[in-house]
Amino acid sequence: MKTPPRITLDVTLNGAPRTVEAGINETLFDLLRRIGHVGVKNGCLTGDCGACAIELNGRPILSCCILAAHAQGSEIVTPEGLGRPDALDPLQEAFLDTGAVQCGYCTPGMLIAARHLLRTTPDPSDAEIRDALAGNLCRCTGYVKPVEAVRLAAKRQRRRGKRK
Amino acid sequence: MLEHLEEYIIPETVAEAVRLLRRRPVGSAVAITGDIDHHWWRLQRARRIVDTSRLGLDQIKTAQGGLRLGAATLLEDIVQSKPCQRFAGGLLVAGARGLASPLKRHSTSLASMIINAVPTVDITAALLLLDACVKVQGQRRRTVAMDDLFVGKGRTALDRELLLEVALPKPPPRFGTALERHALTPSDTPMLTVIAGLALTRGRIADVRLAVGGGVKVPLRLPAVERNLVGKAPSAPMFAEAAAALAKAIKPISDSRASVDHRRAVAEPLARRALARALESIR
Repeated sequence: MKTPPRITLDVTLNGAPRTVEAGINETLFDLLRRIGHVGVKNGCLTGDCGACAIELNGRPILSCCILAAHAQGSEIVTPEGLGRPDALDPLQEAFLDTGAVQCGYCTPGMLIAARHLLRTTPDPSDAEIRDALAGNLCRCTGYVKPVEAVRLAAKRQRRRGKRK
Repeated sequence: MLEHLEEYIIPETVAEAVRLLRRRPVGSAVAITGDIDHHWWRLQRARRIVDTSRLGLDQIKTAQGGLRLGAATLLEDIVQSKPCQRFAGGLLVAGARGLASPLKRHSTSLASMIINAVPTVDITAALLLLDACVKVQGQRRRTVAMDDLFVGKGRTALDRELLLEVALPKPPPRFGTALERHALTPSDTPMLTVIAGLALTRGRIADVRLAVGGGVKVPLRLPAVERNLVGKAPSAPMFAEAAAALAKAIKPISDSRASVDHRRAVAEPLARRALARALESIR
């Protein structure tokens, strides 16, 4: 059986230009994990759990449902690109401060989903937060602390007047 | 995975995309807008993927009271669109929200739902109810009514044609709609969905539409049940009779979510409620 050909992709990855090789049958999820972005998690590979969420051209999407080739010329943000250990993203800070992380597996995907929410809705209601996280399955937290974390991050962001 | 794939092409024009789709051997090319999960079975033997995401087919436009939705429009953009929110009592938005995960809606296009005749996301049944038609480009450009489009499970009447847009006519005046779905949780794939649309003239039903999605092979309308309601004054017993006729007329599937019997049993109350709520929305 022939192996599908490989292509060269030029993307912007977490703010930096990057050239990578990928199989044309390789999902964006597989590519990102292969090049070390392990914040993109395998929860289902069918687009149902949200653990593989990344940002593609400003949209939060499911990297397991997209072939890497689709991302040619695109801007990609993975959970690793949200902040640095010495300069956390407000959402990362809030998740830590509220204890919203238990096993941590759903957390990167939640951060991506919540980031988009706060960009489009800076003062979300709890219902809006829950709706935004509807695609992120979590077995640990019951969503109580994650919702609190997003609420706290929104409040801090508004106070700092920051928009990401 | 997708071992037969030889090319992934992102064309820059509709003409180029259509040429690639029609290249022999027949059926070797699959058009996607980016997301692959609803196309999975079609992609298994594909040699060529034609990614139509950069053809500008993602616009939402109003047109003389109707709507035109580009085929590549993402379901989340339908949810967020003011024209879609206002159209037919927000039915399109309710249908798009049938895919409950915003992440999934950001990743999934209208085309993916239509060309795979997906019954489990309510938007396809909503489009049927709203008398939508699709504009496609193959050897020539043509328009196909949604009613004629879905020919079987996962199959449409398209023949290597590129889906360009979905056109929705202006709904009748004072047209009430309601979507009732039965699912394990609000975000689950529905076991069954019944949608009703209703317009009255001088207290009598002038226009009535019923569409079923969820646990059926393809989304469908119920023209015989609809015809029996036209011209009558709406009442609870009449709606109950129509709902019973709908439950008898559909051929639900049996799968891990529900049996045929369960789906038939819930069809009647769903239809009754949908008709009642559609009526309520115009009073």
